[in-house]
Amino acid sequence: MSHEWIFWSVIGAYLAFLAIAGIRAKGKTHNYEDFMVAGRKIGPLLLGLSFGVTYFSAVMIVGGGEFSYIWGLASVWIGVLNCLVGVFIAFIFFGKRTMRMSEITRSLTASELLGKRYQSETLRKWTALITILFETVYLVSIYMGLSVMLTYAMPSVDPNLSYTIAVILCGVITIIYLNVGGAHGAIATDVVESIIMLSGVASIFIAGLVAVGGIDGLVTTLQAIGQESYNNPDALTRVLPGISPVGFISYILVTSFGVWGMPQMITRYFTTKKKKSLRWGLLISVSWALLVSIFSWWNGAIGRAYYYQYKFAQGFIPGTSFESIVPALMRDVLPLALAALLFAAVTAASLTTGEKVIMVASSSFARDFYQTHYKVDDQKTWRMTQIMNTVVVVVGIILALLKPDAVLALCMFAWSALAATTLVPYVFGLFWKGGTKKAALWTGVIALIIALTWKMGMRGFCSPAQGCKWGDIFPFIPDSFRLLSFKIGSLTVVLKDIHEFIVSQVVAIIIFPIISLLTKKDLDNDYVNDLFSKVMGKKTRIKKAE
Amino acid sequence: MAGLTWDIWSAFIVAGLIVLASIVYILATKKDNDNIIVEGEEEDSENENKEGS
Repeated sequence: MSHEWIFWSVIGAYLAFLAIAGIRAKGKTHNYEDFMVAGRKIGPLLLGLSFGVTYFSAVMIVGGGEFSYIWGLASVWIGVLNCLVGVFIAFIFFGKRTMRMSEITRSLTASELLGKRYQSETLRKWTALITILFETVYLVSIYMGLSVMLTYAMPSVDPNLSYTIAVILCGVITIIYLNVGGAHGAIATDVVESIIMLSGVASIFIAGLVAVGGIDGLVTTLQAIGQESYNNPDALTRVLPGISPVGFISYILVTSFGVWGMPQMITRYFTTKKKKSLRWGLLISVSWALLVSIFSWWNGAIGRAYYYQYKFAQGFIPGTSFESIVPALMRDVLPLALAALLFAAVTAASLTTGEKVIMVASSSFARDFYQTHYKVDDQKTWRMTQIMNTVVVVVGIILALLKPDAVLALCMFAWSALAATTLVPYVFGLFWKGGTKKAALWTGVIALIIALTWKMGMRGFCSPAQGCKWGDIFPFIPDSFRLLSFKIGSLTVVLKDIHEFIVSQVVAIIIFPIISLLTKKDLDNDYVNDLFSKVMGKKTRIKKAE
Repeated sequence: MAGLTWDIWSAFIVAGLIVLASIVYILATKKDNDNIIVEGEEEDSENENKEGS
């Protein structure tokens, strides 16, 4: 195949569009608040789509295919429950309170919001530090997600060369449009990117479904695979899936609830101050997210049925790399133009999540460390944020290209670490006046330590290339302990299969109120009562920022 | 579509209910527009609504 020029053209045209959009957005960016949160003036369409594209990255399009290859049709529940918990419930319960609290406290970062809610500079700096570290690592994993797609889109080009060029191009263009247009530039491009994402995953879903003989052909084929591979015809067509049902439930819990504590999701609510935007943004976000996730979460199952029917004649070899299922399906069932569209969708998904991750990491340094430490004005902080945008992207590019083992291992953990540290202090902070600064700080610290320890000791903290050797890290933990199991209904849960995020959050939910009650003498009741009355007030008035 | 069992089908029903619930939420909170008033910015509030829509 020598059609690589089409894919390069798609990347080129798409990145040129982003650069132009960033430059156009410059006209709307007059101050630091404009740069960081688009002046809190975003309408419902942009808010809804921005929330959706930030939530769902290329990890879902490519990685989702990998999981639905394993779990079959039940995977549709992952997408639906992600939308229910991660979008619908999040918007309704956290949207208004977060939006108003951020405006009242004039917060521009999630760390700043937490710091001001609990009146703790230490908490603010601690959360900012974790954000900088793990968002940068998360960026690396987002860039690395492009590599599998490139291998299939451009088979005659050296994969290392195409990956290097694509990562550098994406990074450089992101620096340009983020530094010039800021949040306005990032959010303005989200509409086009959301359309491309939806079109791309829908095209492979439809083409794949037609190729396997429609829904009936898909179900019949998956039943045949289930019978042949697992001696269970329902293994790939029923809930719960026949393979690793505990892993399936665990995955739903982590991806649905974990997103509540992600700084890049929390700051989406900062970009508006109108309840009307939140209400309609909810409908737009939920509708878009449901479509994209349902399509994405079946593509792997469709791919499995397709390659079974065709006896793997077209080159996809199961058992070696399930993450290749969607790129392989793209190559084999889509016409070139639609394959290019899907390729653009993956690139778009990477960049939309990546740009918010970059802004969150860089602003955490500029706003929460540089500005608070040196007491500089917003103009200098703005400049520092732009510098840090560049630094974060350059570090991300270097790590994504060098792929050091330690970073690869951290990539698997970055998402859990961020959510574990932030989620409970954030949610309790919105609803409970009794939460104290010590509870927020120590809950975050302990949750992170527990998540890290559980990951290393029970589940394996290692680079995918080297294989997981958890026994080498904590040799004093006997395997018999890791393999302890208990029953929930008909499900057998093995200790080592429980995700570290779940363990950390169970502990966090218990210790946060306990520490708060033990340290309640630290609570500044007047401040908290005043803040909550403003957040929930009918006619709250605040002074204009200087 | 006959090949799908109820436990898979119901995911699509839940998806529809989520969209329906979002519409109900919009209608139920239609009159709840108690936005924060920033002193000196009252006159801009109407213009802000238009942006991005």
